[in-house]
Amino acid sequence: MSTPSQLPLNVPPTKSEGDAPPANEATALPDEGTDNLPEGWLGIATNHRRLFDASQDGWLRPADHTDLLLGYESFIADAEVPAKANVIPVLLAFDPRGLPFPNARKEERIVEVRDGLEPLPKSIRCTAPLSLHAVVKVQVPCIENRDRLAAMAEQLANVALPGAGIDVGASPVIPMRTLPPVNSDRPAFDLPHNLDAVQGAMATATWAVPRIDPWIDLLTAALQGDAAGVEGGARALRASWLDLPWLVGNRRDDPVDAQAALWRAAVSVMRSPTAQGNSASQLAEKIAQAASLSSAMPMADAWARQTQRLVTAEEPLSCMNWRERGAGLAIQLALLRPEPMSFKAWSKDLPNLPPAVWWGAAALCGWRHGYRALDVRFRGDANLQKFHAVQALKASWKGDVSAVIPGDLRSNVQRRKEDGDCFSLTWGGTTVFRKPWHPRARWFNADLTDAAMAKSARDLASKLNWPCLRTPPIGGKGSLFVAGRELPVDLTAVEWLDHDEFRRQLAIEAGEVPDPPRPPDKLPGFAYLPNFITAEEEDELLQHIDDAEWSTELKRRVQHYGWRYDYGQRQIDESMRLGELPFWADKIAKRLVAKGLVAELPDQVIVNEYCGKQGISPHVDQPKSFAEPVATVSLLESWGMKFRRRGGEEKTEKTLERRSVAVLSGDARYKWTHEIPSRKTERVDGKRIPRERRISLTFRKSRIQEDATSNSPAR
Amino acid sequence: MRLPSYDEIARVEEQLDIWEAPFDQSLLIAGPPGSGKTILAIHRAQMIASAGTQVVLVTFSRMLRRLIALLTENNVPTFTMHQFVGQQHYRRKTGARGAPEVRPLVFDWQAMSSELARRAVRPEQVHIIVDEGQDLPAEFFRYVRRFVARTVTIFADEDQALTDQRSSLLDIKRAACLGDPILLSGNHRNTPEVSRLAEHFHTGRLPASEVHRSPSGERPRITHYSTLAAGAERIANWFSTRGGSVGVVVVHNQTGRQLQKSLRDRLKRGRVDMYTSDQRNEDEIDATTPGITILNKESIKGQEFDTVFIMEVDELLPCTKDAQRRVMYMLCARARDNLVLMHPGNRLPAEVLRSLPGTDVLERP
Repeated sequence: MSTPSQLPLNVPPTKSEGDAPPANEATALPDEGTDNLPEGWLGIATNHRRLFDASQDGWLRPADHTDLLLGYESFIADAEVPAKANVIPVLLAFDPRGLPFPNARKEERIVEVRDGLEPLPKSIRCTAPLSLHAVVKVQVPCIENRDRLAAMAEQLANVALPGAGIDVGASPVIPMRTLPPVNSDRPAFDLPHNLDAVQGAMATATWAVPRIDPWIDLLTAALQGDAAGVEGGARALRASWLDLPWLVGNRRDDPVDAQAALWRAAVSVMRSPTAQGNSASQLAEKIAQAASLSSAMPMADAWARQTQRLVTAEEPLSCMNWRERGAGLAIQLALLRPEPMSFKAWSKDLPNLPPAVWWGAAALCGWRHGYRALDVRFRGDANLQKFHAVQALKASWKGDVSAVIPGDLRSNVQRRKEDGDCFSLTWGGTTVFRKPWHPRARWFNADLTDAAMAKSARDLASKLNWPCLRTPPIGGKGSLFVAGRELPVDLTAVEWLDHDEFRRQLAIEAGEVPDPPRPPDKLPGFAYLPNFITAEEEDELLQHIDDAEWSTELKRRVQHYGWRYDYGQRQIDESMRLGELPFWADKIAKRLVAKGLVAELPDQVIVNEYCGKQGISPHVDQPKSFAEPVATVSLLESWGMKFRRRGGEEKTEKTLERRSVAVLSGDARYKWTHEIPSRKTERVDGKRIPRERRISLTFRKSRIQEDATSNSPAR
Repeated sequence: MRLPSYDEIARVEEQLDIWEAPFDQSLLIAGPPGSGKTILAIHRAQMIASAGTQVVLVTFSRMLRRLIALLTENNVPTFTMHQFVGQQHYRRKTGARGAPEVRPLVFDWQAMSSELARRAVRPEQVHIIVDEGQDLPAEFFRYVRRFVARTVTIFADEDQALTDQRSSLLDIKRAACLGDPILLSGNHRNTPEVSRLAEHFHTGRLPASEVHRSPSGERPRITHYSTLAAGAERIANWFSTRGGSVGVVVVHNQTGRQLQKSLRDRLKRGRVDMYTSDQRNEDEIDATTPGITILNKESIKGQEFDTVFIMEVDELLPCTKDAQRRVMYMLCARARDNLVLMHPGNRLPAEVLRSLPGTDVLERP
C-alpha cells in the first residue's frame, strides 16, 4: 500500500522558476481524472502489456533505444503502443519522491521539441527504469477495461499490479514526439545485472525464514547487508557454511571449511551464464569442480557422485548426519526441486528438515529462479515487495548507494514482537512482514523457571534425544560431613535442563516440535457450548430472521425483539417495550435456562448481521439496563471475538463457532470488553477463510422489567 | 493449478491475442495437441467468471471434464456436452422426460430446436467455452448459438477427433457463425529434451511442432529393472526426491496393480492411484495433485504429467511399424519435464539400443 502520504520525501519536485505553465494545461486536465494526486506527479500513458511486463519485477523500462518521457502533472504517450484493438490504454502517475535513481532524471526537467507542432508541456526525461512502487495512480478508460485488466492479472502467477488500485476515467494524453538524442555526457542508469537474482533470493529467504528468534535476526542482518552479523549468527547456529547468496560475492576471506567452499561454489555456479539450461547433474559436477578449486577436496567429488545417484533416483534423499554435510544437503534440495512451487513441498515431504538446510536451500532456490518469474505468493504484500525492491537494489548496486536510493528509503529493518502469537519486521515505520511464531519459538521464549513448563521442556528434550539434559556428578547413599558432624544422605540424581543448550537445540536441530502447554484460561466467567443449536434449527432461524424487517440505523443491520435498544442513549426504558419474544427466539431463550446457562428467562434479543469486514468495537453490555449473563448464539460462520481487560494490557480471543452459544458473566461480562474485530478473514484450522456473513443473536434479560413490575404490580 | 508468468503468455503472439480478447467476444481457436488449448480455455473461463459474467465450460469426454473441474477448483461450472444439453433441457422443461434422442447418446437436435423455436427461446447473457470442439456434432454449436448463449469460445483440433459425430473446423465455424479460427501452433507442454525423443518416433506428413519451452538440460533416460520391486524402488525414490505429478505407463493392467501395491508399501506420503477406463474411477483420482498415477497406454491419452515412467518397454520397442511409433510418440509426449523408459531384465538388449537415438538425446546407464 503506497499512498502518497507514506512515500518518503526526498527530492522535492522543483517547480521551474518563472516558467509559465503551457496554456493548455489547465483546460487539459479535468478534475475527475487527476484528483487525489500529490503535487508534482509525473505521468505516462502506456498500455496493459507494458504494465504487465513491468509488474513482473516492478520496473517499467524504457522501450528500445528511447528514454522514458514523463509529463509533469500530465500524461505523455509511451513510445511503444501496439496497434491492437484489445490493448487497454493505461495511465500511470508516479510520485517522483518515491522513485529510485534520482540522478537519472535530474539533468533534464524540460524537453522542448521544436518540430513545428504544439509545444510539449513541461516534461521530464528519464534514462533509468521507473519503479512501480512509486505509482500513485493507475487509470483505465472504462469499467470493462478495469475488470478485464484485473481478471487477466489474476490468471498470472507473477504479476502484482501496483497497490494503488485501478481508477476508471478519461484524461487527455499528449502524443509522444521524437526526441533529440540524449546528452552523451549524462551517465546511463540501468539495473544491476544480478538484481533479479538478489531480489529472488531475498524474497524466498524471507518467505522461508524459520520462525524463531535467532533465524529472524539472521534474516534481518542479511537483508540490510550486515555481512559480519550474518557470519557470527550462522556460526552460533552451528552452520558456519551458511551465507546468504547476495552476500557471498563480497566475501574476501577463504571459506572456513569444505562445506562453506561447496556452498560458495553453488551460489556462484547457479547464476553463471554458462550454467543456463544445465541439468541437475551437470550443475552438481560444476559445483564440485568450483569447490575443489578453492581447496583440494575429495569430499566435493564424493558429494557430486552422491548427487548423481539422487538425480537418477538410485537412492532417496536422507538427512542423516546433516551436521557434517549441511551445505551439500541444502544444495541437493535446491537442485532436485528448482521450481519454488515444488521446492515449497519439501516442507511437507521432509517435515523434519533442519532449519539451516531448509532455509539455505530456499534462498538458493530463489537466487537461481530470480524475482521476475517468482510466483506472487512468495513475494508478500505490497509493502514487503517494495522493501525487497529497495534492499535488493542496495545490495546489488556497485557504486555509491546514495546515488540511486533516496535517503528515507535507506532506513533499517527491525524485528518486533507483536501481541499474541506473531512477530513482525518493520521498515521506516511500516510493517512489511508479519507471521505467527513457530512452536519452537514459543518454547524458545517460554518461562523455563516455571516448574510445569520446565518439566514439559525436559520431556520434550528427552523425547527428541537432545543433548541438553544434565545429571549432577554425584549421587547415591553416603555421608556428608558438615562442620565436623557426619550426616547420612541419600542423593537421587535428578536430571536438569541446560536452558541455553535447550534453546540452541530448538533453533538448530531437526525434529517435530509440538506447541508448548498453554497457560491456563485467563477469562473467568466465559462459558461456551458448541453445537448449541442443530443445522436444521439454524436454517429455520435464518428464515425467520431474513423474513423480518432489518433496522438500518447502524452501519450493520440489526433487529430488536422484546425491547428496543437506543444506541444513542445507551439504555432502555419502559416505552421501549416491544412485546413478547417471537416463538422462535423464545424457544432458544428457554433452552438457555433449561441448560443452566442463564438463570432468568431472557426477554430481549438483538439480531446483528455482520458482513465481510464489519465488526463491533470494544464494549461492555450496559450493566444498568441488563442483568448479568449475556448469551450470544452465532449463525452461518465461525468468527473470533476479542476480549480486552479493562484498564489493562491483557487480551485474548475466542472463536464463536457457527451454531454455538457463548455466555458472558462475572469478569468476562464486566471486567473485560468484548468486540468483533474488523477484518476480512477468519483463521479456521490454520487457514485464512474470507468472511462473508455472520448473524448473531444476543439474549439478555432487561433490568427495567424487574423495576417496572415491582413499582406497578398492576401491569 | 499452475499459473503462467506473463513472459510465458507474451512469448507467443496468438496466445496473447486469445488471452486479451474481450470477454463478450466470440472466438474460434484451433491448435494441435500440446498447444495449450485446455489451459487457455480454463484461463478464459476464470477471467470471465472473475469479471462477474456467467460462464460454462463444456467438453466431450468425462475425463477432461473431471480434469478441468479439478484445475478450476469447481469455480466454473463444467459439463460434458451430454450433461449440459440434458440440463438445459430440464431447465427449460421442453419435454416430460430427458432430452430427445434418435438413438442412445445421440440427441434429436431437430426435435429440440423446433420446440425451442416454437417457444421463441432466445440466447442468454452467458458465455459458453467449449474444449474438444472437434468431437462435438455441428448441431450442438447451432443449438448453442440459437438458443443458449450470446457468446461462445470454441477450442478445437481437427486432427484429433475421436467420434463419428465429429465436426471439422469449417463445420464449427459455420454452425456457430464464427470468424476465421485463430491458429495456435507450437508445443507448450514438453521440454525440448523430451520433445526431441518424442520426435524420434514421429510419423505422418506434418512436421512436429516447434517447442516453446526453454531447455532444462534433463534428457530422457532409458534404464532397466531386474524385478518389478526394483522398478518400484526407483519410482518411489524419484517421487520422494522430485515430488510433482508422476505418470507410470504400463502395458498390462496386471503389472499396474502389482506396481501400485509395491509403491504404496514403499511410500509413507503421497497418493498412488491406478486408473483404467473399465473401472470408470476418474472421479476418485486427482491427477493434478502431487502423487503417482498408474495408467495403461490407452488410458493415458490426453493426459500430462511432470514425469512419465514408461514400464515394460520391451513390449513397445523396437518399433517396426508406424502404428508402434505412433504409440511411443503419444506416450513420450505425455511428459512435461522428465521421461524415463524402463526396460525389464538385467540389461538393455543391443537391438533395442540400436533402434534408439544416441546419448545426446537419450541417456543410458
